[in-house]
Amino acid sequence: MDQKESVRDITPWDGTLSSSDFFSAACAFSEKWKRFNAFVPPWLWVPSRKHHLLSSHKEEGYLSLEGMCLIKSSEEQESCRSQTWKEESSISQEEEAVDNATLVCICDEVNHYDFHIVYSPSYRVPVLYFRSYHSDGQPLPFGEIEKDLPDHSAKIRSESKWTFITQEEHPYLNRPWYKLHPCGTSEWMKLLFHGDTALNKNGFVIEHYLVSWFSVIGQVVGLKIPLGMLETLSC
Amino acid sequence: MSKKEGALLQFAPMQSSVDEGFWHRFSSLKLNKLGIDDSPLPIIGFYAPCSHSQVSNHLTLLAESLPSESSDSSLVPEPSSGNRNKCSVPGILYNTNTMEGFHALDKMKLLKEEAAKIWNDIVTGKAVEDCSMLSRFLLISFADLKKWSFHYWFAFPALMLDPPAALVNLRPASQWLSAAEAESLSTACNEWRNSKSTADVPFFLVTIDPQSRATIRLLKDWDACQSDAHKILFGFYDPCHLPNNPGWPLRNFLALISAKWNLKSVQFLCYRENRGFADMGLSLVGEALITVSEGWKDTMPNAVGWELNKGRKVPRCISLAQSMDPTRLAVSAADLNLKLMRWRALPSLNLSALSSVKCLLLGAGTLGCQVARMLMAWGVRKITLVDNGKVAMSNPLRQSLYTLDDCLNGGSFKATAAVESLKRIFPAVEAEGVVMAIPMPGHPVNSQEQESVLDDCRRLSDLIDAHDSVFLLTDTRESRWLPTLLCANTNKITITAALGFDSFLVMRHGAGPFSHAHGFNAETAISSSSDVHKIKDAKGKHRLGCYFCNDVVAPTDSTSNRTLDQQCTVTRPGLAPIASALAVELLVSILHHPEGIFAEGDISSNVIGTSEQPLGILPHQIRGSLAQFSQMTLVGYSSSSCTACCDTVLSEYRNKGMEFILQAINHPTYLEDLTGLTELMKSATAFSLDWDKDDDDGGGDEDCVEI
Repeated sequence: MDQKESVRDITPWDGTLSSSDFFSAACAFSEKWKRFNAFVPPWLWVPSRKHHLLSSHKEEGYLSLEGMCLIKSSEEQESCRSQTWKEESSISQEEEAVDNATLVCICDEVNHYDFHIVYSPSYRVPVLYFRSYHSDGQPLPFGEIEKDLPDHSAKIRSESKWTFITQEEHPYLNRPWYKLHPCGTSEWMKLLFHGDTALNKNGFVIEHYLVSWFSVIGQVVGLKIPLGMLETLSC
Repeated sequence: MSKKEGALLQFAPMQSSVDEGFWHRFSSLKLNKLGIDDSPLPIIGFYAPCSHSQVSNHLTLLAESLPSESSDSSLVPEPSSGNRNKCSVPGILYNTNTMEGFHALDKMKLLKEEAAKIWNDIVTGKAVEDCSMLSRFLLISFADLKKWSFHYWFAFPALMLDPPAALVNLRPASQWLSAAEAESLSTACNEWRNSKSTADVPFFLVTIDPQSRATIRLLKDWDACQSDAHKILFGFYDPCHLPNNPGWPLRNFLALISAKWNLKSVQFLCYRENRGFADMGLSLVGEALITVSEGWKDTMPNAVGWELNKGRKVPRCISLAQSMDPTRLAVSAADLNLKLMRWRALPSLNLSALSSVKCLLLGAGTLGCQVARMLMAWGVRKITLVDNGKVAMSNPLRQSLYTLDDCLNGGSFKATAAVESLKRIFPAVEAEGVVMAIPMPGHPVNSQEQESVLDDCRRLSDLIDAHDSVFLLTDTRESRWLPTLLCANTNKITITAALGFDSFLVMRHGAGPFSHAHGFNAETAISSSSDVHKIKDAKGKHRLGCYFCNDVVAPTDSTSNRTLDQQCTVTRPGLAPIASALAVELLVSILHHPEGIFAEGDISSNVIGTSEQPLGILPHQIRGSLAQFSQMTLVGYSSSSCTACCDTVLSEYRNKGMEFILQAINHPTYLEDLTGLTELMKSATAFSLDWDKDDDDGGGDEDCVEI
């Protein structure tokens, strides 16, 4: 399939990568991440088969980073989330046994975030999907997520016509997730690798594609990329 | 950190977390397989030891907690095994079919039943064999599949020790163990957690020999642990992160230890991790004192365990309408499509103008159906269709909103069927159907019908007032007269589409004679009805013409005395979709033009880039011919003798109102006399209705380019 490899050396690169290149890039990325990011959960590869008939190579799947927790201070807690229940469905004190052995604790509200990096066959670039939910599973609406995003995220999203967040069906999980739309990705990936003929060598591009991609995308959702990962690019 | 001797041992309650996927799969199961069957359903919950110093782990339900939907499988979920992050525990789901049923469930009874199962497993020894039974749980729910909201309540049954256990001390494992012991235990735990056969076994025994070597064993190896000089710890995966309290699973573990092995003093290990590795600083070791009476284990103990919701004993509710309601999903997908068009190709696309414009479609036939669909594709949501006909058997082929079902039993009314069809395509459309005939000049009415015809006139006038843009899509010329007049009077954006056998006309009417092109923009056209100044339109700038401005005869009865093929409009099928599409694109262009209805008519030319508007030129008329596969843009100016839009006619209408209309309807020559057309007529032959012919008769008022 990748006869393009030889062609690529001659023709200018368009900023995209093939599906099998994505897998290689993903492996390189998650390995580097583990090395430089000891205090954050690792990116795991989740193998998935979507198009049983069309899939032409073995490794199809996506990168998953789940369980990032954002602890909200008590002032930020949502009081509107609690339902006002009529006491029809409570349990009266007489019914349940008196139990002093249960600790009564007030827990902080926590927003959990899951991130997936999924390959888009139509745009031929990676796409970041994410979702957020409270500890009990209730999904966060986008308005709430926006409060968690860093300040410069809104700025990036309003300035760049390429970066905007939409809600679309996750290609493997068939449920709506939020994603950063990929329509401009190939353009700015080209810019990132532009001008340096050494960088344009095939293998290098693939190995560093996701690191470079993530250094831009991560800013929009507040995921930082450790400097150590970026430094390997400049050699 | 140690606790005072004899203080009450307090356990941190287990907390639940239900992934969206669980509710999705449950809804699907309920709709496709379970139906109204509300018998209890076995489910699987998952938990893992705490792995974050500030956030507890939860008992989690995922999509795979439920049985799969395939018809050949039994209603039992697939157990997972060997996954270190997902220790499976058995549970049971009672889902009711009504809210009342949910409230009426006997909660204490259900809790007792599940607790009894745990007690039974302890007494028979089954819990020693399969310790995950100790964390069995209960879930009651009511799934409201109309509103996509789920009311639910977890219970984690815990057998109560009577009197409750006392806590002698509790401190981090790293403080209780020596350095060597801690290291050995960490290693042993990591091996245990990395081995597929034990990774998800949440209760275990730890023995530490005098050489500081730690060994981890299954509960059933209890006898092998009975060796002197060995320290014994009862270990369990603790989802809780709190430094001063053990997690909930310890409760039933203590009940088992007391009932099975009769111990009074229990050293326990709350096993917790950090980043996937055993952490002896987060993990706690404590000593509990059990002082139950002799006969305690002869009867089933009491149980507690209903989960609190923000401190109160009430159920929880989760709403998933955002992600499950198909209508909402369709709306956001449609919006995304238009936004993408805007982002990628047309930054000046005015999406809010499109979604707020109110369109009135006169005629729900071949043209009406296609125009409606095209409008929806552009994001127009407010559409009213007017038609007095019923769907006939031949219609579905050419009229794209109807199917055979609409033709049965005499046929549904087109206006009604069209609206239903639009809603099936896009539920968020705000569509209305009006079954009404349009009064036409030259079709005289007798005195009995007079009042109802006047009613229709008023109704039509009200409809036009209530909308921003009107499409004339009927199949006769005369039916376009009254709408044209009313639109010219209120200065509404009016678009006409008319079909010949293999040719079409799509045009926008010019502004009315009483309007003034002052500070116009698309928004004001939509929000205000008409900008009436008594100043006639300036000479320097001609008003563009309407559909009738080209005519030299008044519209009159074109339907009597025609042959069959003339009566049923027979056109090449490709015409209607082409004309309809052009009509809608014309509207969108008007809405984006800074002068809107007052914009001059452009004609297409071969010079690229002549238009400054992002959507391209804004023609006045488009005439196309399928015979030539050609299309041309024309400009025609208003005629001062036009029977529909000249100021003579409009003044008369304003002065005499319905009386004027009635005159026009009943007296065929009235309009011609009024406008002076009578004098312009060159011959008095009976006219044919093919408008191509009329073009040949065309008078000198036109100022257009013809090829």
